[in-house]
Amino acid sequence: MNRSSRIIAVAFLSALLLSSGLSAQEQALWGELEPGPYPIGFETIEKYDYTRTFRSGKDYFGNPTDDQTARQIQICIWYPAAEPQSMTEMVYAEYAFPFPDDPDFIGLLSGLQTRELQFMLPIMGNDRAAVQNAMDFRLRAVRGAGHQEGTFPVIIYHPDAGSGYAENVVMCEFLASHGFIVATSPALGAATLAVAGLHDLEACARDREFVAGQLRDYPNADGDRVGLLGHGAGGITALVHQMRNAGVDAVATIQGAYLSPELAEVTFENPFFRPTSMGVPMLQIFADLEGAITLDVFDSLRYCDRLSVSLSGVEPSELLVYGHMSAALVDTAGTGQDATGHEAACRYVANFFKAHLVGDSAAQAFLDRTPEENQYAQEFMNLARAAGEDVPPTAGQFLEIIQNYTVEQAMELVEKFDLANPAAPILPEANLNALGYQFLQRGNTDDALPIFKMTVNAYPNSANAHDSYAEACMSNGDNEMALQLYEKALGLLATDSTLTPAFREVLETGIPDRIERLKELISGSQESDTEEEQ
Amino acid sequence: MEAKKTDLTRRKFIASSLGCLATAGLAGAPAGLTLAQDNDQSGTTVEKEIIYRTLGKTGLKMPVVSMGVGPCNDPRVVQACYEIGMRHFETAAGYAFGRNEQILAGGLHKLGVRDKVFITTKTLDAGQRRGLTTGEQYSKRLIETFEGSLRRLRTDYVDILLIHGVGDADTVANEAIINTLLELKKAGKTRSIGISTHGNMAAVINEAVRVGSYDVIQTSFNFTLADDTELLTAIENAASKGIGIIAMKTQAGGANFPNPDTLRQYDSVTVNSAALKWVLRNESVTTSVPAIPDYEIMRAAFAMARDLEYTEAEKNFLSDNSIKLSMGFCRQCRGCLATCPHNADVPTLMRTHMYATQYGSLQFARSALDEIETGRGLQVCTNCTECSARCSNSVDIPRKIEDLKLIYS
Repeated sequence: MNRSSRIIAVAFLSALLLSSGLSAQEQALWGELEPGPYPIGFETIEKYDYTRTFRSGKDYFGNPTDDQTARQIQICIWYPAAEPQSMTEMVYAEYAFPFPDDPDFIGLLSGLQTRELQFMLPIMGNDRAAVQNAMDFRLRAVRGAGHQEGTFPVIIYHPDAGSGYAENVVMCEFLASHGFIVATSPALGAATLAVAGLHDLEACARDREFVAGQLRDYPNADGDRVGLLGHGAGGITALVHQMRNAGVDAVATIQGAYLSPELAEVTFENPFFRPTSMGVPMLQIFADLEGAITLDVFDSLRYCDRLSVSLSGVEPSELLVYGHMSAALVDTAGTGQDATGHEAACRYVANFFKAHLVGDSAAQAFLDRTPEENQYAQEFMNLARAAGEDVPPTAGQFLEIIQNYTVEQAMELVEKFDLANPAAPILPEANLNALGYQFLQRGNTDDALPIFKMTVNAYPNSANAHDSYAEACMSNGDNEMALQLYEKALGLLATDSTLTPAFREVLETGIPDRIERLKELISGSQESDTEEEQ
Repeated sequence: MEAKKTDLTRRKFIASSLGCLATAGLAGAPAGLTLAQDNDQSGTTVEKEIIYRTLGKTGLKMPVVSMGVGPCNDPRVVQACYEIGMRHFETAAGYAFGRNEQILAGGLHKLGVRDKVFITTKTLDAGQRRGLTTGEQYSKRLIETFEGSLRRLRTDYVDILLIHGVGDADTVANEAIINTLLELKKAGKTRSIGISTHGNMAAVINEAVRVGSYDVIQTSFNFTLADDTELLTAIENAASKGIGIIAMKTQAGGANFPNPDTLRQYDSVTVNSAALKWVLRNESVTTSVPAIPDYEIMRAAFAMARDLEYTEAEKNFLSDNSIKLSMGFCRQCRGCLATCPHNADVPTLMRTHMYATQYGSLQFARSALDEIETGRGLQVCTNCTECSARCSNSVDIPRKIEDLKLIYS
C-alpha cells in the first residue's frame, strides 16, 4: 500500500468510526424499508409446557438421559420500545442464537442454531464464510429496551418448519416499529427438531397457541386484537391456529406451504383444517413458481376476505430476510438474490395488519390500490381479491341458534347455507333428532316439526329420521302425513345400515303397529266425515 | 441394558500430545516458582498462591492459566472459572457462529465482574478474510465483525483483540488491518491488539515483531515443538520486545490420544499436567488458554496455575522420546505441501483432523475446513486413490486423510 492509498484508507476508517461509533453498515438487512414510529425492543422468555414432553428422558434401552422432558418453549418478543435507539442494537447472530436466561435452554437452542445455519447455507451459495459474515449484520431491535406506553395488538409469528424465526427478523422488527407486539417460538417437532409430519405440525401449532396464551399477560399487549403471520409450513399452522381460536382477527401467510400440491393434500388431511371455521381477513404473499403452485387451499377459504399477492421473478427465500442478506453479501456469496420481494412482503403484511387490527384507513387504502399505484411493476406483482362469503354456522352454533333464538331464524340459515343438503349435511342426525324431541316432549310441536323435516331432508335414507318426523306429525294431528312417513321409514329399514340391531328391532316392530293404528285413525276419521256429510 | 460409562478424565481433558522434551526444559523449576502444596513447619498443608504474570507491554496481569472458552456451551462453567480464580477468558467471533461469545457474556454478565476480568476475542478469520482485496474491504469487514463481537459480548470494549489464525507474513503486515486495529484501540474499543497463529508460527511472530504495532501474540505452543528452535527463539525474542505471549494448543491436540497403546504406561492426569506445565515453565509465555468445556477439566487445568513443579511421573513422561513419534501432532510447518501433487492444503486438513478426532469438535473441524481455498480441500483427496503426502515429523498424513474422508464422506 503506497502512501496515498494509506491516507485514503485511514480517512475512510476515521469516517466510519466517527460517523456512528463503530457502525460500518446501517441495518443493511432493512434495505429501503423505513421503520415505523416506534423504537424496537426484543426479549425472550423461557417457559416449560408441562402438559407435553419433548424428549422422553430415557434412551432406547430405558436408561435415563439428561434430557429435559417438559417441552421447552423460548418465546421471542419484539415490542414497541420507549427508549431511543442506542449502540446496542442486536446483530443477526443474536437472533440465530437468542441467548436464554435459563441455561437449560442452551442445548436446545444450540441445535436450533445449527439447523438455522444449515438452512442458510444453500441460500448463501454454500459459502460458509458468507454465512459467518451474515452473523454480524446489525439490525434495529435493542434487547431489553423499555416498553412504550399504551396497548398494542399482538401478532403471533409461525415460522417455517426447517428454520428458526430468524428467517423473518426484519419483518418482525418492522411490525414492532409500526406498533405491534410480535411473538414467536422456534419450530420444533413433536419429539425432535425436525418438523416432518402432521403430528409435528400439530406440535408447532400448539406451541404458538401456548405463546398466544402467555401473551395475554404480557405488558401492553392487547389480547383482544390478535393477528397471525405464517411462513412456509407456518402458513399451515397459522391457518389451523385461527380455525380453532375464534379470537384471532386476521391471518397472513408468506409462501404458505399449502401452495405446493403435496402439502395442500396434507393440509386438507389435517383434522383441524376447517375452512368453515375461518371467516377473518386473509392475506397471502408468494413467489409465483409457475407450475408448482396450487391455490386449492386458498380457494377453499371462501369465507375470508382474501387478498393474494403473487410476485414474479423472485425466489421464495427472497421474500425473507435472506433476500436482503444475499443482496448485501453478493460480492462474496454471488447468489444474485435481491431484496425487492422481501420489502414488498414487509409492506403488505404491515399494512394488512394495520388495516384489520388497528382500523387504519391509510393502510386499507394501500391494500386497495393497484400494484402500479404502490410503485410495483405489473410484471413483478399481481393482486387477486375475493370477497368472503358469509360463514355458515357450525353444528354447535346452529343448535345454539335453535335453542337461544327462534327456530324460524335457524330455518332461514338452513335455507341460506343449504345446511340440509343431502350431499353434505352439516349437522349430525343424532343431534338434530334429539333437539327435535326436546321440543316435542315439551309439547312444542311447532318448533319440533321443522327440525324433523330438516332432518329428513338432510338424511333421506334414514329410517329413524322418517320415524321421528312421522311421530311429530302424528302428535300434531297430521295423520296422513305421518302415515306416509312411517311407510317410507318401513321401506328404508331394509337398506339403512346405520341402525344398531337392537334399534332396528324396535323400529321393525313399532312402525307396523303405528301404521296399522294410523290407518285405523284415518279410516275412522273418513267414516266420521262421511256421516257428518250425510 | 446398562448405559456405557465413560472415562471423563481420559476422554476430555486437553489431551496431551506428548513428545520429546528438550533436556534443558527439565532442569529445575524457573525462578520464582514454588510447589503448589507444601507442608509448613507445623505440618499443615498450605495451598500455594496463584501464579500471575504480566502480558508484556499491555500491563495486564493475569493467572498463567486462562479459560479457552471455545468448546464451552454453558455459562455456568464460565462463572465457575471466575470463581476458581481465572481472570482471562478467550473466545472468537467465529466460534459457533457467535454463540461462544454469547456464552461467555452470559456467564460474566450475571457475575457483574466485567471490570475484574480480561476478555480476548479473535476476529477476521481466514473465512472472513477470503475474497477481500482492498484496504477498505479489510477495514470494513474488521469493523463489522468486531462490532458484532461487542454486541454479543455485551461490553463496550475488549481487553485483547486478535486477528484470528494468521499464517502468513502478508496478513501480519497488512496496513489496512493494522490501521483499523490501531483506530479501534485509540477509540477505546480494545485495550490491546495482536494476532493469533497456529501455522508458520515462527515467521508470523517474527513479522509481527518487525511490524511493531502489535501488543499480543497468541501462538500454538506445546512440548512436541520443543525441538523447533526457530519458534522458541521467535517467542523469546517477541517477549523480550514487550509483546505479550499467550499459548494455545498447549496439549498438542485434544481429548483423545492418537495412540493409546504408547501412552498406556502413563495416566492421563500426568500426561495433561506435564504438557501444560511444560508450556508454562517457559517464562516468555504469560498465560495459556486450554480449552475448558466443563468443571472437571477446569479444576484439572487450573491446578497448574498454582504449581509448575514437575512430579517424577511427569519428568518420566516428558523424557520418553518414543511419545513424540506416536503423537502425530502437526506443527503446521507446511513441509508436506511439496509432497502432495494435487496441492491439497494438508496442514489445515491435519488441523481439521485434530479438531475432529482429538478435540471431538466437529464444529471446530468444520470451521477449519472452511478456511481452505476452493480446490485445495478434502474433495481433492476424495478423488485421489493413494496419498503421497509425507511429514518429516512423523505425522501419518495418509491415515489422517483417510479418517477425514470417512468422517466427511
